[in-house]
Amino acid sequence: MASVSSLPPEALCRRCTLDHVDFTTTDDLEDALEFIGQERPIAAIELAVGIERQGYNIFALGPSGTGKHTVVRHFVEQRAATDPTPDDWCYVNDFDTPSAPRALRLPQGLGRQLKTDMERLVEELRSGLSSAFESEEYTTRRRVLEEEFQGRQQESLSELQERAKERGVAMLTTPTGLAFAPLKEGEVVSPEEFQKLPEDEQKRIKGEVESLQEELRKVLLQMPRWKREFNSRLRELNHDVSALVVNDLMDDLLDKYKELPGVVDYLTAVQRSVADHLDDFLESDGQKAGEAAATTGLPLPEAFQHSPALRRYQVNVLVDSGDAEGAPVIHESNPSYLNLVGRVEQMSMMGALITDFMLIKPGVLHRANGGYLILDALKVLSSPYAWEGLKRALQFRQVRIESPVQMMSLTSTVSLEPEPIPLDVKVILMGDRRLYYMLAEADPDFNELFKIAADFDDEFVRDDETTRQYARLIAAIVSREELLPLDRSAVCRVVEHGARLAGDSERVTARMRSVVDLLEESDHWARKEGAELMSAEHVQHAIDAQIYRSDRVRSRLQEQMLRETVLIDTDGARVGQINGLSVLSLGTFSFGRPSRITATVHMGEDEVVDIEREVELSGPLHSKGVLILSGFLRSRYAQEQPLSLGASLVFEQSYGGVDGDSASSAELYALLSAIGQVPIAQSFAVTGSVNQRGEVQAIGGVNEKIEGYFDLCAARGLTGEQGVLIPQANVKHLMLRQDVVDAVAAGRFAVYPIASIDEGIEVLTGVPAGELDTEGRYPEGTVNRKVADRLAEMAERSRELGMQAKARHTRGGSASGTGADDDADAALGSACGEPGRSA
Amino acid sequence: MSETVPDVRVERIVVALDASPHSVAALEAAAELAALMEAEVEGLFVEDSGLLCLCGLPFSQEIDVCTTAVRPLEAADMERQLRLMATTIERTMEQVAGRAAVRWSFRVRRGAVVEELLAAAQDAALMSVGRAGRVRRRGMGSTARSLIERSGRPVLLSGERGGSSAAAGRLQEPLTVLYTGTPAAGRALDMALRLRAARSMPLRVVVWAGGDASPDVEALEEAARGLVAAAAGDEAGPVSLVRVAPSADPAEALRDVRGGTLVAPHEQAALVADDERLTLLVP
Repeated sequence: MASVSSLPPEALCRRCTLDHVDFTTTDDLEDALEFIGQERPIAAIELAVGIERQGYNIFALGPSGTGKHTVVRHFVEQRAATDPTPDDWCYVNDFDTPSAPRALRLPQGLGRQLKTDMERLVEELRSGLSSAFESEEYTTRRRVLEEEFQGRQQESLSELQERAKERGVAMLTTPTGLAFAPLKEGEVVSPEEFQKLPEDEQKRIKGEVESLQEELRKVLLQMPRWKREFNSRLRELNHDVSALVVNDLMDDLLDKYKELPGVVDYLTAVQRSVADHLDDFLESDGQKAGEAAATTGLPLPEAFQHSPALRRYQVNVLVDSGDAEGAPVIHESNPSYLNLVGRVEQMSMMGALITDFMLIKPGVLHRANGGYLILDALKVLSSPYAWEGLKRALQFRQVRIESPVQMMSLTSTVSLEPEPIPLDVKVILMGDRRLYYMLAEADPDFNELFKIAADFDDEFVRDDETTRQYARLIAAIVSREELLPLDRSAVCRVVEHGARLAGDSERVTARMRSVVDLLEESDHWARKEGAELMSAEHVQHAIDAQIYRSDRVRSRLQEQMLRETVLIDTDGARVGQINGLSVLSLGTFSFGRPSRITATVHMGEDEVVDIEREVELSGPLHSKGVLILSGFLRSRYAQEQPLSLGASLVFEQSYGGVDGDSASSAELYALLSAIGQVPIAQSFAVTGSVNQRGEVQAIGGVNEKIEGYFDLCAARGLTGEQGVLIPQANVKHLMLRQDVVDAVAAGRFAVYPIASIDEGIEVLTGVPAGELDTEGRYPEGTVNRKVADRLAEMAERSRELGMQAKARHTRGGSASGTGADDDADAALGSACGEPGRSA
Repeated sequence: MSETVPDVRVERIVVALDASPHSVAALEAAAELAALMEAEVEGLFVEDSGLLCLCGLPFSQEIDVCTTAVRPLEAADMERQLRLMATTIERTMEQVAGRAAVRWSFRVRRGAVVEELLAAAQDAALMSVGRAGRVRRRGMGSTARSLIERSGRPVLLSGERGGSSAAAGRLQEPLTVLYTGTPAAGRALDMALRLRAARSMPLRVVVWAGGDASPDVEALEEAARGLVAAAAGDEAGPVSLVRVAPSADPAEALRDVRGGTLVAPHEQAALVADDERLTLLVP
């Protein structure tokens, strides 16, 4: 009989009782908890937010649903609340270079203040200057100037005219100028009369006319100079009149902002600009715009409808922290390039696109400046140029607003080049582990810029403290999501399910999203029933419903076994045949399924043929497992003679490929049975990998595998003989379904913890394995003896036949190191309804 | 040139035209007044015979006002330029008269400017001239002055200043009459009353007793009131009286009553010589 006893029911599922927590329903629990565990990433985050140096940005890595966002937000917000509130940032016009708007930094709240002040200034300048220039005093002074200028012109002409008259010459206006003509009795002398005059007289008149012409030229030459003089005196007058208004208003502002040199510079530039552009302030509202619209007949954008020229005195408040307390924490859900670094918008005016500093829009880097910015790494990477833009901003510690085309220097169109703004922001990227390691390897800048990795665990140790916190966290979720409260049994059931999700009775899952989903679904079932509390039944209902929703393929496969389309024996005994167990993963749902593994032996030269591998249906881990078991055979039975054995192993009716080494122990049992001709009880199914020393090692998905075989047996009817052999090391992972536990308790099913191949073969065959005696032989009647005898016999026979050199099979492999835990997730699914599996 | 049959019964307003902005203002004013008085506008462009004479002289030259360049004058050039001016003026006249919807005609005469204008004024109801010619000058030009002194007809003076010719030639409200009690002043007030009746507008009578005939101010005011009352139509617009002390400067008093169109007796022409407003001088 077997020397290994089956596990007691209590070892199959570690129940959660929460005896150490005093509560009846979740309402009794303090629900202030947002997360539990994750000490490692928390320490990382605390370090990163505490170091005010370049590059201490965070990459929070871990599977989705592990609460990365919650934890990061919690600690970052905590820190941000005590950080100083960042300054305001404004863009203002640069009056010397309007294409390069100037950035102004102002203490919190002063940005909007300056904006209002400038608006008021423009209003006051308009009214002040208009009334100054419309005043009686100004009009009079201007008229005096004008008359002086005109008078000078006219008087000099009149004087000349008078002088001409005295000399008997008239000044005539021709269609294109002025001319002088000799007069006689008030009439111009006719050519005939002129000819009759004595020659001296003619000469005299000619001389007079010529000298008058010269005088007229002199007078006319003076005129532009007088005009210039008039203009300059008019400018002086305008300046004097405006200075009074402008200086008075500006002095108030300069005094108000005297502590801020940047603003003082700006205001001084404004003052100069106002003096140069007085006309803009004197135009009636929208006059220029109206004229422009009238000429083209096109409507103007709204922003340009009122005094477009005065836009240059506006203030574009890019970042307004007026109402903020502490540093900003911003989570940008769409981290596109433009959303990150900001943009210069354009608007259509009369068919052309125009822009100015007022159309600069901030990016999220501006808004998070002085604080924290949380981004999804995958979104940043998949958004064109966003990663490059983010890196550049962090590297140079400044935000430069450029369009992607500008950034790549693909355009030379005139556009704005706003002054870059110094950047002091801590960026937290969220992503999965693969992305982190990929970036760390592929992008040399990444490690420089994201020095802190906050590595989130997907499970944590299940002990009294964590289960207590788990219960509190459940209470917090219930209160946050406004779910029905859970009674004690329900909380316990959720904790147990958390352990089952972790695949370990000593761990609970940290993927709280699954827990939230379960609670929400349980709440649904409870409400449907009209219950006021969620109980374990509701939770179980939700779990069952989750499984039912996803197990179409599983039930179809089981159906095939029950109808014997797929041949699996669950009773009787066969030589060289065993039930292996594999796990299939479909999306988030995994289930176990039995597979028949057969072994055949023949005389040959130390060769175990893995048929799966021959046809390339096996993954490397499976091939490795097979090579390990031939290593085991050689080391145990071929110390003193060559292994004259040929064997072939196959997963029967497997069409989709197989990977993982968790079937290697089953394959070895089948092989031993085939060599020693010892039948194996078909009521058992086996999982576990084996090393070259014959020790059975842990595998993954133990719960799914046991339940997979149990489901088949239960469907056929439990005989009490059936059971599963699992590696001893996997006992701690058992979190089996209640029906399995119940069947074991009733003695109708069994789970055997196996530490070595010898233990396993005894359970499977009912024959002792046998240990080497002092003479180096196995006792008579044991499995090992049978195997050793058969191999010796084959070696002898082989020698006799002289067949050492040739082998029928020419392919094989060499064994290597010990096996590791298999990969339970390899799914090499095929279209024929035979999904990939791992054994 | 004329497109209407001359009709002696129809009142005519003669406009002296020389393509200067002042003369365009005069044309605008004449057209507006003609529309009110249902009169006809006759444009007159006088080709200065003096200029043509000058062209024949051996040393004839002109100086360009803008460039001060000296160019010899040729009779043929001058003829061409004068024709061009006439064409331009006629075109302007067509537009202005068309806009005001008045009958119009246009004549070109050759001779001494003042003499030709005076001749044309003989059978005109009113002369409309620009304050000055094409060369800008302060005050009134010699042609305008001669017309006022010698025509014996009401003369409408227009001047372009700062604004457009069209604006300068527009009849502005209120009508402002300088009433000094002389017969001419009486006719001026009468004319203003007729205009007021034709187009309802307020009337302002500036009563000044400081002229040659000097009855006391009250009597003058009384007389003015009488004349206003005699003219029918209170609905034509309000009438206000402004009294100017005999010792006060009437030119200043006139400037103080801002805006509007001035109507004054022609013997007070010197008072309004420098005024920018549209001014009607009545003999």
